[in-house]
Amino acid sequence: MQTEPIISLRDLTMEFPGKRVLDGISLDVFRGQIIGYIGPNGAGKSTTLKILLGLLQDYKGTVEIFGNDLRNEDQDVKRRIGYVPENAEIYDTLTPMEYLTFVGELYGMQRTVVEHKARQLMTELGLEDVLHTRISSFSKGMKQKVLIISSLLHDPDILFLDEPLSGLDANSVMVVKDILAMLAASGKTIFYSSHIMDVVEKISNRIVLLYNGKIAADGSFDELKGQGEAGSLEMLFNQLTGFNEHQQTARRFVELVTGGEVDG
Amino acid sequence: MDNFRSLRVMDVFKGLFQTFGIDYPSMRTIVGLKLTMDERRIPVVFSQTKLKEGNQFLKSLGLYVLYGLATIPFLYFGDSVMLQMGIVFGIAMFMIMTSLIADFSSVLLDVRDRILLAAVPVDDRTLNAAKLVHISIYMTLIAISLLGIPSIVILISKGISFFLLFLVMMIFLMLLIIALTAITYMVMLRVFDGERLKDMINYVQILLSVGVFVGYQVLVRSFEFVGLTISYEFSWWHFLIPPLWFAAPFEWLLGGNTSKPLIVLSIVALIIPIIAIWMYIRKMPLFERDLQKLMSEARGGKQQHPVMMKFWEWVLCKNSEERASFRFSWQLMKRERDFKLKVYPSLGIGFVAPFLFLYIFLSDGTWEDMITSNTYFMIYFGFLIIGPLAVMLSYSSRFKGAWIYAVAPITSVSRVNRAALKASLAQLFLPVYLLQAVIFTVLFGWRIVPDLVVVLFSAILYAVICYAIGAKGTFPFSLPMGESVQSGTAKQIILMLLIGVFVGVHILMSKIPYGTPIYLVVIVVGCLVGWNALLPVKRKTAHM
Repeated sequence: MQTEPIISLRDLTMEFPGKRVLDGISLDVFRGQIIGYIGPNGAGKSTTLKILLGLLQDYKGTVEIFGNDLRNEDQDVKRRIGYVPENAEIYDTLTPMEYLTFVGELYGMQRTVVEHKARQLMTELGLEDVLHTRISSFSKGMKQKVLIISSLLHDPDILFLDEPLSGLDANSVMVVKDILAMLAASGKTIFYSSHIMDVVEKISNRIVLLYNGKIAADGSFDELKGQGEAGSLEMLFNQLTGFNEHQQTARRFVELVTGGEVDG
Repeated sequence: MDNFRSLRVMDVFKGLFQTFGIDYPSMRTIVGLKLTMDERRIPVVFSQTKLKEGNQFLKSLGLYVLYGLATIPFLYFGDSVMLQMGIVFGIAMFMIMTSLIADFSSVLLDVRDRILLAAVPVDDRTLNAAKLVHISIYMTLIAISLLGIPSIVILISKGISFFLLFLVMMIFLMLLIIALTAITYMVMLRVFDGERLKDMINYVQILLSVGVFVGYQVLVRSFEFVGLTISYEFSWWHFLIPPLWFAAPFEWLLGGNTSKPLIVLSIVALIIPIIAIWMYIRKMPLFERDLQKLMSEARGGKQQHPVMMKFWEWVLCKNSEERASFRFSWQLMKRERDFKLKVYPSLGIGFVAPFLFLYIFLSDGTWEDMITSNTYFMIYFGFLIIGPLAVMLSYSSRFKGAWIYAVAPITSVSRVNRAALKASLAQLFLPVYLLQAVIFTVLFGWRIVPDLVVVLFSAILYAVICYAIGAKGTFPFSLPMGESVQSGTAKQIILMLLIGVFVGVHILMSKIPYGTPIYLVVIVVGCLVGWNALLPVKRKTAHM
């Protein structure tokens, strides 16, 4: 059905001093896919994203994007990628307008074009009245929206998102979800990591579960469901990561809080 | 957490706190926790040097001891007790108040109190008392370090009554300082929004750093002209100078001067602090409410149209990538408080230093001698700005945002670096230099203009050398601010010595016939070569 992979990882291994974070990952991602990249804390999700973006270089194995090996740093490849980092890291002493024009210009856009586009996108996400307010005074959700806009300004073909929905309110989450679905439908590839299973379950058309530096599961939600008897992604997640004592943990915790036995 | 001596001293007053309806155990816990947190904070006086472990504040007290020693000579200036004590209280007030604003703004303006402690069953009265006690502990420590030795000197040389009066006056002075600082903040909180307020505090912190440098120089100079006998004469405006209020009782009670204004001044010294602190305690709830502003999300804000930025961008940058980086750097430097805190003091020092040294020259020679001499080379002291500026350019308190450089398709790292360096020079060095150059031309005449042009190009060359040594191929604003402290000192000394090389060569060349024009050509070529060699515009990867 699909031809050339957009992103291709072969035996990707990454070690930090004293710890092997990624242990031989191989993965092909195709056009129009929304990959939900999940896994417990510290499983190596962000590390994978950082390698794909060229933020981390001393990995082993090969990484190809649009058929180009990442090691020959191709600026044309970067031009076709958008990124939203986790924790809303941003030069927040600037105003959104200043930051967005800077980013747009780095991607080779005309200043007037960026300004116009940034203003329109900000307005659509309800931020028109803070265009010239310092980002440092924003809530997490507002910052996240600015970052989402900054990642899309130059109309990239691949979008890497690290916890893109954190801090957003329910309505904004719905808007962003629909944006992602429509972008994918128009041929963009979206690769995002998240902890929020309900969202991953609903919007990804392919789920990759990372556990102990290896891919523990890969497939659409329905396919994955077929493998086990889990009814939700959350349960599947527990099952695949070998964590089945959430109830016991909870019970012990509450007993410590109340200082007595708990029913249920 | 219980190992704080100050807490044990506080226990003595347990009963007193309880009569005011304060929940003493809770207050003690809160203050103890705050003292623990303070051990992990670095005071502004030390922001330029490197230090890591322990309560930085306690270590900084050593510095206050030094400043305290400097007040001792003033105790013996002239014959007027009023002037002696006026100067001593003046220094004490400046030091304590600026350090209170610089280092304890975070205590006074702590909003985490509101979020974290408001949910806990502790009443407001106890919370506020904890805050007041916390500040008082530090004020006391500063006051003791600053005036401990001077007060012993007083006890020995001026007698017990002088000493006791001094202690009483110090306590009232401290009450006034706490209340005055708090009231200043109250007013600022009313007038400004959160971001503005933080800017204002930032400027006070910068003022402190410059004040310490300049104050020190002036203090040393002032030994020369205060040998003479001055007797105190009252003028109405003395009511506007708080240190004189506190000096008045000495003149009145010990100097035996019973003129009316002195008695009034003495009474003011007692009454105003009490009124001020009473107002502070009464208005505290209001203050706390206004503090919420610091957390508020500001909306609105106008688009700014920085004329200078646009002008220099147009003059200095050709390529669009360079322009984008130029604007970005310009805007960041304008906004980032930590950057300002590290760079602006040297800006003040760099501006003042040439004039200060001319002034010193003047005190030895005549005006005629000076304007015909080559002392205009003092303008090289302005280069003191460039070193810290070029080095700090790599650091930011928001360095994590630097992922954008790695992700964006940047064609030339050097272009981004060039833009940042150009922006920093255009925004911070050039205005200072141009102003200095104009003043120097007025002083020394047109003859020095060619040399001033040489100096300008030397600065541009010097800047790129500083940057090459300081930045080591990283992107601007991409390293954590804290690290700047660790790598600074040695580098800064090398960079300062380099200024000497520039001055030396320039002076030598100016002695040779046609030396200056030749050197101008050399230095312009040097600039071109230097910039192209150290920041070559070609494709190259940066180390993140």
